[in-house]
Amino acid sequence: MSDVTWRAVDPAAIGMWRVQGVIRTFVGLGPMLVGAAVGLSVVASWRIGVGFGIVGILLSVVQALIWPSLSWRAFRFAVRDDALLVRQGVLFQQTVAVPRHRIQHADLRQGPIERAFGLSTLALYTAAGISVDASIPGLDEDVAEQLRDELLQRSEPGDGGV
Amino acid sequence: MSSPADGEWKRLEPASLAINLLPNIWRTLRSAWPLVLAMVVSGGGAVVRDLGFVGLFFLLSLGRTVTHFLTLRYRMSAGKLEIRSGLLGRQNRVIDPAHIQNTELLQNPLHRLFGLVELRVETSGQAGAEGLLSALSLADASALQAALQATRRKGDGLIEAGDPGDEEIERNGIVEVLGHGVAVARAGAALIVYGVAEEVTRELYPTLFADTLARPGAGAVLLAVFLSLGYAWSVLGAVVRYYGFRLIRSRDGLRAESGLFTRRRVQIPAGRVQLLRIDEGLLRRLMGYASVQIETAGSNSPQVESGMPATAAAEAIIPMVAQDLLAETLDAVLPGYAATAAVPWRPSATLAFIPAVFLGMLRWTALLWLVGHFVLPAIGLGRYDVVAGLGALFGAWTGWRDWGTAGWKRTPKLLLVRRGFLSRQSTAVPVEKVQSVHLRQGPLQRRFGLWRVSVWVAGARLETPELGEADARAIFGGLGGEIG
Repeated sequence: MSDVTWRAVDPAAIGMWRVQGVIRTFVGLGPMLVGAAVGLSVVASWRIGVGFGIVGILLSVVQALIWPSLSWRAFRFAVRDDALLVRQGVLFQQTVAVPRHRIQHADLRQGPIERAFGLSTLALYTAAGISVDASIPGLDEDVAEQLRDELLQRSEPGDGGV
Repeated sequence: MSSPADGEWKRLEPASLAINLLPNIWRTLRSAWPLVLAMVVSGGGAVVRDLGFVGLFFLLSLGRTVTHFLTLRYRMSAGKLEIRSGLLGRQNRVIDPAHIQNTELLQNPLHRLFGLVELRVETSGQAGAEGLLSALSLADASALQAALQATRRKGDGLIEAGDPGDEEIERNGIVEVLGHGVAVARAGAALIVYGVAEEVTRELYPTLFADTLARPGAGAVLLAVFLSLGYAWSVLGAVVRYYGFRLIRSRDGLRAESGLFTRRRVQIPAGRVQLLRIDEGLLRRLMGYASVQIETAGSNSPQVESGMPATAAAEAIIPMVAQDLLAETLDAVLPGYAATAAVPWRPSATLAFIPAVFLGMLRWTALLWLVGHFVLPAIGLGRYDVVAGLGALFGAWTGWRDWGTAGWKRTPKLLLVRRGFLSRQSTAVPVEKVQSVHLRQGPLQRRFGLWRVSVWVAGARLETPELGEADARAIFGGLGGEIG
């Protein structure tokens, strides 16, 4: 795979993932941490509760503010003549190869936060039956549309693609 | 009888009312299980209310069955199977024969009584593209199946001069089916059920426990009974499902037939096999056999069936194949398989023995500790810690053998992986069917330089054992290049 030219997603994705991380922290993780810290203070001791709370806050900060830039660095994709390659994961690394003639359909997704940043997610499906075979988040809207058209143009499934 | 290929709408046979009523009653009861449970728990005393509910369930089921019979229509139109159904929520489903992965004819005792069959059509799509016609005459079902196959052959250009006739490539007698039943029996499950039952009796009914299970030898007898029942259940299940098994190669592909009460006939069109799983567990190896599961793209899709209840997924299993005939038989199922015999297995990574041994020890220590904790006291032995220790040693040995067994090989047509010593299983996928390839490494694997590759075909997946970087990249890069 030495001849592959890896491309990064839009750097604005880091900011978007940070906003998403902060929202996740406040809506989901934060209340759970507070509840667990209070619970531990009551059933064990206040020191354990406070300690747990501090560790939780530190992990939340890492998850919301530092992890997105690590994820961005780890996330790369490459469009070859024969296949789309997607590489991702900071701790658990994964590289996916999807042959272009196997692509059945593609979705362009844009939630409200993505819309605010002018970004889109391109999701690609094959007949494998996985929910999404390969997904490229954090693409500039125009780039995402261009990429989708390019990938679908060259996908010519024969025999129902299976 | 008019041919279903002429565009005329046809309906189910009237006997479908009788055939579908029972499954529909079961379906209604299942969906209303909290109510049924409440009725059972609350006990008697409200006979009129309970009878009212029973009547309501019956009427709902009857209504659903009658609606299904009255509204379901099907036809072959422009070379495609079209099925219409539904009264309030109407559905019009069109199935392109080019996408059909397998068709299945099913005949349970009620079908047999009325001389009818159920036709199931599976495609590679998900929920939206399956067909089920629950009560057709054999003539209508055969005509429809033939029409679907003819359209597909025309599309594929598969009609060839001098097509060979049907050729039986595997047949299982009653002895082989019984052997399959013994091989699939789960002694561990029977042991755990026994252990839990013993513990519950001891805690909740101490008097009963003291009167029965605590007697010398009673536990051992009951354990033997549980194990025998577990084996008997498994063997009986195998006979009911696989009695009279035959695998036939026809010009349209493969056909598998089996069943004692409910006869199943699964038709897999040529070139639709996505994956083979070859089970060569220790017991089967000792008997000199293997079991093979044939998966198509339709095997794992949800069973959506024009509003009717589901039965088993339509994939084919060859219960028993003699090991010395395995390569030859599987070559008929998946062309190119015989050529893999000449290619040696490549081993998994050297350092992969560490997680293999660790997991083996963990698995067997936990299992034998549980068995020892629940079972040994009942038969008068209390040293389950010693048994758990022996389990650790045995687990380390099986882990080591698991590592030694694991491997992969590649031919131009197929990719195969093999894993497991006690429960050895090989998986084969045709390279031309690969949908996507995933190369993965977690933080612990990175520490040991190990990689895994997942290869997805339609509806199924092959997972390699832990490989070194060169091997993992060889599979990933090879498939990544060739599948394009």
